[in-house]
Amino acid sequence: MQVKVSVDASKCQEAYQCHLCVKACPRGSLSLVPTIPARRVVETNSKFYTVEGRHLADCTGCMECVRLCPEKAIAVSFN
Amino acid sequence: MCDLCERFGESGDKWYFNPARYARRIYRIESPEPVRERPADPRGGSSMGGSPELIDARMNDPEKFIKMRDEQNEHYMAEHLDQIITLEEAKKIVDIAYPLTFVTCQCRREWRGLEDEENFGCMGLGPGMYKWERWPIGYRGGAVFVTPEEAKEALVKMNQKGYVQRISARGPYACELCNCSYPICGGLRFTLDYGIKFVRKGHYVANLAFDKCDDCGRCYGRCQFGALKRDPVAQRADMNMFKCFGCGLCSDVCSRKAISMVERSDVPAVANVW
Repeated sequence: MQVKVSVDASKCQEAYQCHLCVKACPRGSLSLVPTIPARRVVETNSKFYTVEGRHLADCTGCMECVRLCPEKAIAVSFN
Repeated sequence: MCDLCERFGESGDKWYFNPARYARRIYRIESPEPVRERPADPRGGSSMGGSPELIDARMNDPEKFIKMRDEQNEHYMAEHLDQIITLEEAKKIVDIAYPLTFVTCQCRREWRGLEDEENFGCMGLGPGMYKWERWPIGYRGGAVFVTPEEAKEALVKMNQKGYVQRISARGPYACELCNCSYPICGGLRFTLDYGIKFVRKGHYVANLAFDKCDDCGRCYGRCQFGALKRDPVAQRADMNMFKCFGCGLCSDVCSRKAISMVERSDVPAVANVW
């Protein structure tokens, strides 16, 4: 089974401040990750962070992240 | 005897009580085993996210997954030496290692987005920590130096919150005392979900005296490894020693001393299960 979690980068602009989806994920499948090598990240600058589905083998498809996202930026698909 | 004690222990004592494991002179000595090349992650940052191919293989390709898992197992058994310890052992280590620092936890930042101020939950040990202090941007938040007393106090607090203590070494150098919980810990996660021996079981195993347990419920829910649950038939706690990692979280809260930590070598069936 393939799980895909796609985060629309144009809608998800404040991942570092918000990250409601990351907090809510019951299996920790979503990660708050830097978009550039960690050594060059400026912590206070949120544009360097993004949400990404990484441990997708653990994703159950409970859709909590989709429900909580204030910008409706996350889509989860199974096939 | 665990393989780490054989390799790094001295005079029959546990390997992490050997002061040589924290010494300045072994810091940065490359380990004799060949280092497996890691796939470069263009996004930078985290190795805790796991390799995408491994996660993908676990979903789609069981045969490839088993092959990859065995490969990584070999690497981690040689390179990445992590073992669960009890709170008492952690306190002893704090007395041996110097300097002691608290650093931010990468796993909790990544999977729960924890702010740096609340995230000083990992202990860094030894001279490597001066480097962390010097480059707070590279190492996210830098390092906070503490005295052994402060460290013990913090460890007890973490233990009460329900974090499992574990000692980590890279090569011969013991550099980290983690406070972890499942699933928000890269190590525990790879060990329990993927079957990669990232974290070894501890030298102790929890033994439950059935007649002393009065079903008070303090320990239920503290086990991060799925070894302890309530048995509705007997109306008591139920311990699966095969799954027990020997962290001691359950015995620390047991009001009637029904759960005791016994040496793993004294329990025949699990004596060599690490």
